[in-house]
Amino acid sequence: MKLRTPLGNARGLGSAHEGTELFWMQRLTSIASIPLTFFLVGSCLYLIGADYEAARAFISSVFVAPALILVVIVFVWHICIGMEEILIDYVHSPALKFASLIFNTLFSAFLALTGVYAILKLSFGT
Amino acid sequence: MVIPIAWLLAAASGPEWFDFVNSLLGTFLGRLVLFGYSWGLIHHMLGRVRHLIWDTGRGLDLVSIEVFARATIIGSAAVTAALWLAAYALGGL
Repeated sequence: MKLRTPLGNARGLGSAHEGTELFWMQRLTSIASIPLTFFLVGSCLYLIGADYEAARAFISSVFVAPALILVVIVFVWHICIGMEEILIDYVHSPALKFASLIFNTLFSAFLALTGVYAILKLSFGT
Repeated sequence: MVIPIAWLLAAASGPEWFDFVNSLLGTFLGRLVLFGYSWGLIHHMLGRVRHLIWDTGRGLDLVSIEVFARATIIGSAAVTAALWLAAYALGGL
């Protein structure tokens, strides 16, 4: 015998006005990635043949460093969400699914932090 | 993002690491990987711009889908080829 009301049964199963964050963030980061891709590709072309001092001077400039930090954060975030969607959809074993989801999130955080740290060190470090 | 972040980390670790990673990426295999990387990046961008257009409800008829599909493949190959021609012209490598 079920003692729950119909409302009690439905709670938590239907629309809670949540769940679209990943979809939205994926679209937002994808649109942000378009100009950032042009910037990254342009920077790579500029840095062809550059020696250490030239590369450092370029990366640490006040216009380049913040934009590069944005590239790292937006790209890694975008990849993290994209991989998360793939893992949720296609990894069917629960243990493997959660292990890979945890690894994906932690690895993304590691990548983003490492990238930002490297840019800051190039800008401010000695 | 592993390759660009590894490169940034090498640059942040000093001239020796910077030169080492640059020499790795400069080998034939390194350039092949970078070529694939750039093609993948550009193809993904064009392919997803197509999806953003579809998200607005436009271009969902069969003719447009066919045109988009061909334009994505040809476009990404053309842009990547142009990019690497520019790279070799600029670098004289």
